[in-house]
Amino acid sequence: MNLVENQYKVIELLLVEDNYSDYILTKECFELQKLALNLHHVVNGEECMQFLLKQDKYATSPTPDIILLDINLPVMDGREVLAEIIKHEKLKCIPVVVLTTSQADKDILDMYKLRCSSYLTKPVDFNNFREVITQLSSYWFTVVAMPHTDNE
Amino acid sequence: MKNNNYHLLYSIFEAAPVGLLMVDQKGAIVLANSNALELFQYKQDELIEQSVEILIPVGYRRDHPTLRKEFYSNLESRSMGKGRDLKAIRKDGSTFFVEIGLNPLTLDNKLMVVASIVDTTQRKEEERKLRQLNEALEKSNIELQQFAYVASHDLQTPLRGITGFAQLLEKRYKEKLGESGNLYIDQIVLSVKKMKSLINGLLAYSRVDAQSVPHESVCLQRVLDDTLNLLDMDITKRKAKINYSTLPQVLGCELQLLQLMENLLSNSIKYNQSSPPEITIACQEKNSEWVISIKDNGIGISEKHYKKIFEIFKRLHTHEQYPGTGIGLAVCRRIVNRHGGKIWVESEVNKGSVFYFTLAQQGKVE
Repeated sequence: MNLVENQYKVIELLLVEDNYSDYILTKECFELQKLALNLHHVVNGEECMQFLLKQDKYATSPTPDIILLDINLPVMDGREVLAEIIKHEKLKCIPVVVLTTSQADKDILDMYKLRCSSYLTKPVDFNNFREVITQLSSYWFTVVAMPHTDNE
Repeated sequence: MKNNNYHLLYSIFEAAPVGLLMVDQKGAIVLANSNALELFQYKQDELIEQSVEILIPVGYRRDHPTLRKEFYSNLESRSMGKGRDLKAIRKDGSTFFVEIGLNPLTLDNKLMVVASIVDTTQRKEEERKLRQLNEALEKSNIELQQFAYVASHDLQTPLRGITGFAQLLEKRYKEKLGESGNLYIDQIVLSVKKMKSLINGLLAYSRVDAQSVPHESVCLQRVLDDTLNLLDMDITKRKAKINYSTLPQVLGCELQLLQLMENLLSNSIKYNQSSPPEITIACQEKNSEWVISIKDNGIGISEKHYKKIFEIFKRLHTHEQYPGTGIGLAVCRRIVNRHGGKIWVESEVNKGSVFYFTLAQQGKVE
């Protein structure tokens, strides 16, 4: 996919986030970007895998172009999700951006070892948080060449 | 005791600070010093010519003659039952922990063994207590690290919710909210900022202990240079004058020393109304330690507060007068203590303060 094509395609984004207020804030930030973007939301790693594997209620879900993944999640955490995704040939090309509150060196190291695409910390201040989402959008949706997914 | 040799041997036996027993090849006790008699609570005539096995707890008694034969077939000085917890039994049947050294000896062409016996019950008990304390300490350290993680992660998520929605409210409904509504939102955001700096301060405070014991060689001059770089904005803004002589090489943790310097220097600039603020950093050798001093021409501290300022959450000003969390100097004290040093202040109100701390010289600690 080239950059021109990228601009016309609606981006399918999967947000894995257990905290409801963080979900709303992230959603608001993306809405302020005015992007052609569908934000899908799941609350834990298990739902994330069901979504990706199009199981049960997610049977008709699109394959996301990008995943925003929190680390500390109930049932199945971000580490387990990354470890699971890489086992699936069809899923392992999807960029996974870790978006979390943790600034712990160990978390950052762990997630990169599990081959996350990048690691972002959520700032407490809303304006800074918005800036992070803006940067993320401009990098991933305009600068970076994305892999083809099977949505066609 | 027939001749001088025996007398000499006996004197040496008696002078030894441990229990000594001489045992012949058949396992009969030939000689016992007073310390041994006291340890096992026997009288001399109750022990002489008795089998040494009566001093061994019943469970181990049967194997001892075999072990004894092995010793005589492979003569060398060695400790008994290495790596095992050895026990001995007194006349009254009570047992105690011992450490036993065995030495072969030839006397009148007869092969003997001298056993030196130390009661280790007390040492064992102390070791056990120490081990227990260590385990408790380790557990509390792990808990502290977990606390730090929870503080950095879980406490910040709701804070983001509070600021985020307050700021969104401001963004979307600024006109409708009116002047006081906007003021309330500003206060919410400010309060959260304060809360966040408190959390970060607490985190820094708890991290001092979670980090490993400092021991690397650190160039304190480089630490000072880095600190001045970090504080460049404040220094420029206040046109502060910084004087220093070259600082030495010390033993410690670079990151913690940087934090220490940064806290002390930023205080010297912050709590200062002179223009320009002037800060002098110096180092002296005293009692084979380095004494580092940071002198300022700031607002000063009255003597009754010299100790209080190093306690956590203790402040001498309101947040409006001088913003702060009351954690900075507590972190400083903790860092210096971790380095085996001391920190104190000498000051005169309206004239200025001198903060001192000591650090070990390189190669003089551990």
